[in-house]
Amino acid sequence: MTSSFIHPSLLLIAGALVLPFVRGPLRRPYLFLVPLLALGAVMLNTGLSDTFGVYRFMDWELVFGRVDKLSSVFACIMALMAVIGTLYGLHVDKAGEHIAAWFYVAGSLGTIYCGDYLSLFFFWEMMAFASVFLVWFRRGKKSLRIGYRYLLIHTIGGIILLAGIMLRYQAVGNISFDLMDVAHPELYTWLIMIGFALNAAVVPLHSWLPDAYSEASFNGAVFMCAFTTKTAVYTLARACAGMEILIVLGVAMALYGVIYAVMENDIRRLLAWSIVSQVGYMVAGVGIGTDLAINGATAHAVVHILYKSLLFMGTGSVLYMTGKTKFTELGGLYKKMPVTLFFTIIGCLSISAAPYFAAYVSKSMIITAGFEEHLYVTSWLLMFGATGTFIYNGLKLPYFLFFGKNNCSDETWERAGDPPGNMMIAMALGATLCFLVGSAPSFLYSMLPYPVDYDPFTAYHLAETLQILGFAALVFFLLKGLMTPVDKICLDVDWLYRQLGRGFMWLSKNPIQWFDTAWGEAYRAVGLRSLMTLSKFWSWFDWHAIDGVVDGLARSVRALGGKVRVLQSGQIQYVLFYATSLAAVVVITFILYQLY
Amino acid sequence: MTQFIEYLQTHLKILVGVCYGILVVVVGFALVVDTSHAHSWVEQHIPAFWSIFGAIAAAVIIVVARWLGRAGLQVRTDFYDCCTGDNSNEEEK
Repeated sequence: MTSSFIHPSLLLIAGALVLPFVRGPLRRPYLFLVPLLALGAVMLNTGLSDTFGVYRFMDWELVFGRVDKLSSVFACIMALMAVIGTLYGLHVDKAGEHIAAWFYVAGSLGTIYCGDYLSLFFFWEMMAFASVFLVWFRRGKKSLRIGYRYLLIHTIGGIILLAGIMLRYQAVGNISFDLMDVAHPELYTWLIMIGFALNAAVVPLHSWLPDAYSEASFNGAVFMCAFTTKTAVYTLARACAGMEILIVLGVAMALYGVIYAVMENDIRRLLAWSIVSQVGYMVAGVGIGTDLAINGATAHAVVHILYKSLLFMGTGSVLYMTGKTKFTELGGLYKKMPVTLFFTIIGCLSISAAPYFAAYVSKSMIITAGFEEHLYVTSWLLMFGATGTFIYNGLKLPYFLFFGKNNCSDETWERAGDPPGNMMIAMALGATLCFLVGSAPSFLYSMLPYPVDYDPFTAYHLAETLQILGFAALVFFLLKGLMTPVDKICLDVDWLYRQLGRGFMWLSKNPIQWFDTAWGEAYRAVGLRSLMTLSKFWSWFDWHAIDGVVDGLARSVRALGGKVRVLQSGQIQYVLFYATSLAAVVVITFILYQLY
Repeated sequence: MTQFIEYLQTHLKILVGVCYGILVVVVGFALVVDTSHAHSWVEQHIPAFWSIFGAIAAAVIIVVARWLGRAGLQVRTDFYDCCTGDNSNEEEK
């Protein structure tokens, strides 16, 4: 590997492998140091702009270090998130959780830096197989089942992606991971796009996300909310920018997530639906494909990681302290968790694109890009979705969790309180970054893939945002009775998956099992009987024919032996007599033969 | 912070009045702001357009979500349990 490029994934993987041997007082400094080193490596790489770590493997050229502005900005936020996430879970003693998280981040960074589909697929699968442990490590009754569902879906996505990669290799003769010809899509273009889209939780391939993220461990969810979907957005921006179907899918995601989040009773599942909705903006931006849209999608991915991780840290604190995640079992927590409330409110303002908070400088870039391309319906619908984001995340979440009716049991109320110091420091870091990015976005804009000619701090944008937030809040407080959470779950397309699974099980247990039984009976009745008859014939043949010959030969030898045996008296004079007589016969025969 | 929130709760009418006042200021600001660079005709020609948009969008989202929930999307929590054996996660810490 070229000396100037340091692959952060190697640092994280090496750090994860050494972690079990680092114990006692060194454990926490080590936990903090490894992701910090990875972040340092990424920052150093940001100064580069070239391709590094190029190896030949069989006929293929593997590229592990493609450094350009698009990969650098995504790598920076991923590495920063690894630091914040590890800091949040610093008190977790189980090394396995940190190892899984670091392998997960390593997979994401490997995907972001790679320049070919083979290494991409390797790191892609590393992400899936590492992140499933963050679900299993919650160790709840449902964790194992949900983890397997998550793995199954991602395996299917991986197979679709691999099929696309193979078809593309057959068609174009290389495995370079670059922008595809989206104006003339081939089958492999669609397959690769679907493989990426599944990880981006594009509707209707999204149901794994609320299923898994809401059931991950309290710190596992902080990692999961950042990496899989945003890495997928990166791959879509790299390979599928300008693919128009992504605009439709992105808008569908933005609205679908809003409706389900409004209905949701589980605070972390609400945030998971929120990811579906927010990633929809990024997918739509990638679909629009202009410089401003790609910049907007990238910027929104960066700020989304910041505010979403902050929100998952806030709700994770509630889970960690109370053991509860349902609105119907919580409420009124401002008295017991004021610091958590404060940081969560900053996350809520950030996701709602409130002025001077994170999404204010990114979401509007995507919507403006839509307007500039005369995609009015797209932009109106995205604005509609943005209003919904404020309803469920800016108002519903804090209101019903920290204010509203107190549904806590005595035990829950007793356990509630602000979390340990390291968790609050991580939230403070996330909240600070949300405010800094939202109020001074020039640093973020300088990192975006294309030159930025966009100013979010116009009077019109401020007026537009304040009107939407203000009047949406008014309607919320007038109609909040309609939004009061109820202890129910929402049916999603996973109902269809489950029905298909149930249908498969029915097929297995009924017609397939019946056929298997019938086949067994038929085999026993027909096949086994004929086989026994044939076996009996061969037994008879063996006994009478083969054994007859062999035994006959043996009997002949034995009979001959019996005849010859009488000659064996054991007395030397008889032996000499027989030998001499035989010799005499031979000599006489020879002489007679010579004479005549 | 807790005390401040409780203070606001005990003076709820004042808080609501202040909020309405803020809304009036926001609308006033929207009426005087330059809309000539807005992207669409409706933004340029309908006064305080985004106030109307925000209110209608919020109402539609809340009502549609409520309707879909009542129409059958929201089901009891043990809906899947009868066939899968799923149970809720135990409380944890």
